[in-house]
Amino acid sequence: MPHSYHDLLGQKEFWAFLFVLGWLLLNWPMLTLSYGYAVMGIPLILIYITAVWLAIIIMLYLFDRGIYE
Amino acid sequence: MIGPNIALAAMVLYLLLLFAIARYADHRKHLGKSIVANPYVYALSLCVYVSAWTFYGSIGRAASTGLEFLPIYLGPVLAMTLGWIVIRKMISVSKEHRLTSISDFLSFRYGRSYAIGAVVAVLSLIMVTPYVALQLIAISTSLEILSGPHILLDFPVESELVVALLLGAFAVIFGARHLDPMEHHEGLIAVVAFESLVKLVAFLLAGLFVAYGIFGGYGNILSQMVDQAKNNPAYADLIDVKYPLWFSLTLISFFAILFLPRQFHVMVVENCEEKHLKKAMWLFPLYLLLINLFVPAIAWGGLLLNTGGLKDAFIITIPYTHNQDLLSLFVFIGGTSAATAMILVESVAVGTMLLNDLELPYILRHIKKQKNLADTLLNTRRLNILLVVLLGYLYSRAVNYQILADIGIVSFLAASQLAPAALGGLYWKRGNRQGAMAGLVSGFLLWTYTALIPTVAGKSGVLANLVSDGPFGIAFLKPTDLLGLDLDKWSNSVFWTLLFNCSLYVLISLQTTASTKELAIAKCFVDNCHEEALPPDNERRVIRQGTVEELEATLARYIGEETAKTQVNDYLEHLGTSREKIETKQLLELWDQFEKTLTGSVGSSAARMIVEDQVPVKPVKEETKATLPTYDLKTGKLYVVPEIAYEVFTDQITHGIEGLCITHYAPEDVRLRWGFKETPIIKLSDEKGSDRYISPRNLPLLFMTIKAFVESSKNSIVLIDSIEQLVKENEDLVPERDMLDFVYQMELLGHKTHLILAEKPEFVHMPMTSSVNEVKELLFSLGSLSMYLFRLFSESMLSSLSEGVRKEVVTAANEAIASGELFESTARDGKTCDDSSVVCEPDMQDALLSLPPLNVRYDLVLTRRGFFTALRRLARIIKAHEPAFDHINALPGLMKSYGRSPYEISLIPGTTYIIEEEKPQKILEIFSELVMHGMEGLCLSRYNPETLYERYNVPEDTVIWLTQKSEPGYRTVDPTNFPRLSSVISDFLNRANYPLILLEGMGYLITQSNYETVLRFVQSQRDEIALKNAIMLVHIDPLSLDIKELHRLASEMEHFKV
Repeated sequence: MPHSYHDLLGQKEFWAFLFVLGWLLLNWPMLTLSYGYAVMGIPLILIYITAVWLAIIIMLYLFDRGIYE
Repeated sequence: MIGPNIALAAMVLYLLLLFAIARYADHRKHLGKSIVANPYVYALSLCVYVSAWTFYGSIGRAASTGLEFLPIYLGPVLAMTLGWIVIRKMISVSKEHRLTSISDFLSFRYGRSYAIGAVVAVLSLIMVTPYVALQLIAISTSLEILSGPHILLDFPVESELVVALLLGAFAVIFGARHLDPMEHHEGLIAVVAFESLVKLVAFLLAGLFVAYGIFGGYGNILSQMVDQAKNNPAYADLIDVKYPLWFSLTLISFFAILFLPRQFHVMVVENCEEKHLKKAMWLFPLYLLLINLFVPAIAWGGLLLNTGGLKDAFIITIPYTHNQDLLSLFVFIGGTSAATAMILVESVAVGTMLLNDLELPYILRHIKKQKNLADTLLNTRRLNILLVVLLGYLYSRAVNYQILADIGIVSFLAASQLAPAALGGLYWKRGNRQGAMAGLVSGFLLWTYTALIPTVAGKSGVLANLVSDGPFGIAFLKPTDLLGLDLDKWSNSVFWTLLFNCSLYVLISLQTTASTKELAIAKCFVDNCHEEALPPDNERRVIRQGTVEELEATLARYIGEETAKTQVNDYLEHLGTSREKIETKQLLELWDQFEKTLTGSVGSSAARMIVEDQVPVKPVKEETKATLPTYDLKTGKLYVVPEIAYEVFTDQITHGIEGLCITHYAPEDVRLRWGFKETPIIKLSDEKGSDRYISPRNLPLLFMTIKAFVESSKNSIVLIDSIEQLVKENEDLVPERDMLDFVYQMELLGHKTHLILAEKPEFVHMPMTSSVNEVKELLFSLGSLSMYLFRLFSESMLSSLSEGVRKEVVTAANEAIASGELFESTARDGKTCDDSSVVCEPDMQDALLSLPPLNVRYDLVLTRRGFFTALRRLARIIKAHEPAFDHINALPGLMKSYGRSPYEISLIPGTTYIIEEEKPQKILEIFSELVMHGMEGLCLSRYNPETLYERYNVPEDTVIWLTQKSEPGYRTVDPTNFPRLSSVISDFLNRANYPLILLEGMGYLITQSNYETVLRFVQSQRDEIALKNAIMLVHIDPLSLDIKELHRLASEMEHFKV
């Protein structure tokens, strides 16, 4: 039976995974993907980092909204 | 243009506002309506991470090196994803054990190690000094931008000094207003949260002004910068990313958010509820995102505008040069907020560390125990806070601003060195003190070499040469490029420091073993368990359980009387009891609280010192179980238990008897093996540093400790493991007489308690019929103590002789020993000893060395009867050479010392004595004395047992009442039933080791039957006594018989002259 996202956020392993994923997304080599590009004059790397940052905040916010122990 | 003094005045007013906020927060706390205990304030307090280094430095870094400022914030964001796993555990463990700083945290985890606590405290001071300097310089620089160099009424006063004084005073007022056992500073946290809002708003306003007030929007600035980068290589670097450095900065900022002293303080120590962390986990990254949102805009906007001055100060110079005085002033207040919050929290955190982990142990050792320390502690903490600010000020004078731009990274790197020990301590049980210390020291040494020295080296001098050329010109040892890895200087430092730190921590932990105590704490940390599973605390509390008043008095010395009283009352209320009604178990819980409160107030290592040194020794009971004990031991009896001594002891203490265990084993092992929770254990060891150890040679202290325990308890049991080992360890080191004294005094003390001796069967000279054996006469029952005793007594007898006579006596006695005439028992081998040097005082030994010794064998074992027989035989030999010698008068002192009745040496076993007196007064006194001194007695008397006990102290259980009435509760024999009388005596003789019989009431016996029958009875008993080597005393009233009858009766016995 598939689990809801609530179940996912309630597991420690998920947060360990998110931590590792965050490290990978915010470091080499993932950063090179956005390096050198600009969108509407704004360096893509800045947009990319901000997007990942926001994604993490949203995940943490969802975790706060749920009830996990 | 903002005039001179305006900025300073604004700053002072702002500080006053903060003061009012702090007062209000404290006031609300006292009303029970805290404004701090909510997740939003908690989240804002975490934003103390954003210091002047961020407020000014991020812009400087963005303007100089581009996107490199970002990893400093990405690390904390990633750390928040582990918040519910790692940070929550740190909070939980710290709350459970009342740990109030990162040094306490590490010190406690590694066995309450004073060394680790002190090292971390000192390193924290080193770590934060440059960082505080940075804050002072940042504020003073911005102050000078707004007001010019003379900031104070045109006086040439250095701006750093003014700022340092203001912030120092402010930190003292906020951080050390009173002693709080939980180290909760609601006023301080309210201020920090408020400042977080102020600096965010200031930053956003400045960013909005630059982006939309000066440029055509955020995108406009970035577009212009991208365009510039295409044409100008210098600008191209600003959107370049150096990946190793990026990774390194992310890593150290990840560690810094967890282990920087100020972060640990706000995140862990000041946390009110764990659930607040949940909201902070997303609010804090959001705050970081917002405050960094305009960093590129301001930094790059400043570059595009060709703004002059320091790049770090773009945030204030851009609006200022565009005549936005109010905005500039507000930005300055924002910067001041960032710096003030950092200095406040950092100085409080480091000041607490210095006090608890470095200074307090010294204070405790050097200040009188009864002195009230609350004021001393508070003042010392204030001085520590001032010291942190003062050192920051001095450092700011010693270096220039450009160097300080790197200072934040240096501090982060230093904080990272705590990570292996801290994270390892939370998740790896085998990580131990030695490993942690090795990792910490190596990490900090390499940090000094690779990070600190290159930062402060300057451009010339020894340090500058070291950095540029390496030590002695060895290039591959250059601090910034060790082994030529070609990394940037920060990545180089991160790599080498953490490599050595982690490696040594792991390897040395694997190679060494932690103590049981440390392992128990490690288990607690890793499994996040509660106090009950932690033996070390139980161990201490056992030995030092005090009354409520004693605990409160001790606590009051460190946190003040009022606070201590409040704490104790609160907890008593929580326990649902009062000072008068408190039960043992509740007292133990109060003790837990006491220790935690102390740990919270003075740190874990200092709390340990206080508990071990200054809390009175009291026994406590183990938990009483509802069942009966398996082993039925009687109070006042001594038991030898060869195999199951600890099992018997545990059985007794778990049934309500207060126990004391004296052992040669490690207390931790005993506790773990047998599950004692509260029973004091004293190890016989020469180890120092704790009163849980007593040297085996310090017999007086050992005895006094046991005595104090027994006397303070109504129902106690003492286990000694073992006398044999004690004798062996003291052989040739401690005078034999000391050993004899100790054992004899223990025997006497044993009559007030239950005394269990864990001895091997071969050491005990008595039949061991069961697993638990009652023993009497320890001096004659254990090992070679009877030999010690004989040597002592014989030397005393010989010492009264002249040298010539002594030689003759010794020669004759040695011949008697060799022929087996002196001792009843024989030695098992041929080893003999010289008794002349053992029992005398040292200054007599030289004189005695020339005298011939008695050839007493080392393994000589004497029974009590054999001992006195040997003494009498020796006395006869002496008397043959020295007719005036009287052995009875030669030994009264020694006889008394070892509880021997002077009559005993006169009474020859196998003899029946007659004592003539009208009333049986003297004979009963002699009987009583001999029985009290260890002989086994049977008294056949006309008097009832109670009368005998009241008048002559004759133990009732030795008496058989000669009466024709059969009263319940009395042992009686019909005076006409001589077969029954004979049977009673015979049974007793068969049972007793050294029997003494008193026959009193001869007249009554004769009256009830006839003289001839009684005479025959006496004659038959006389033979029985002779056969069994016993002693019988017969009382006769000379007036109750005619002369002939008296003579016939007396002729069967020996006359005993009283």
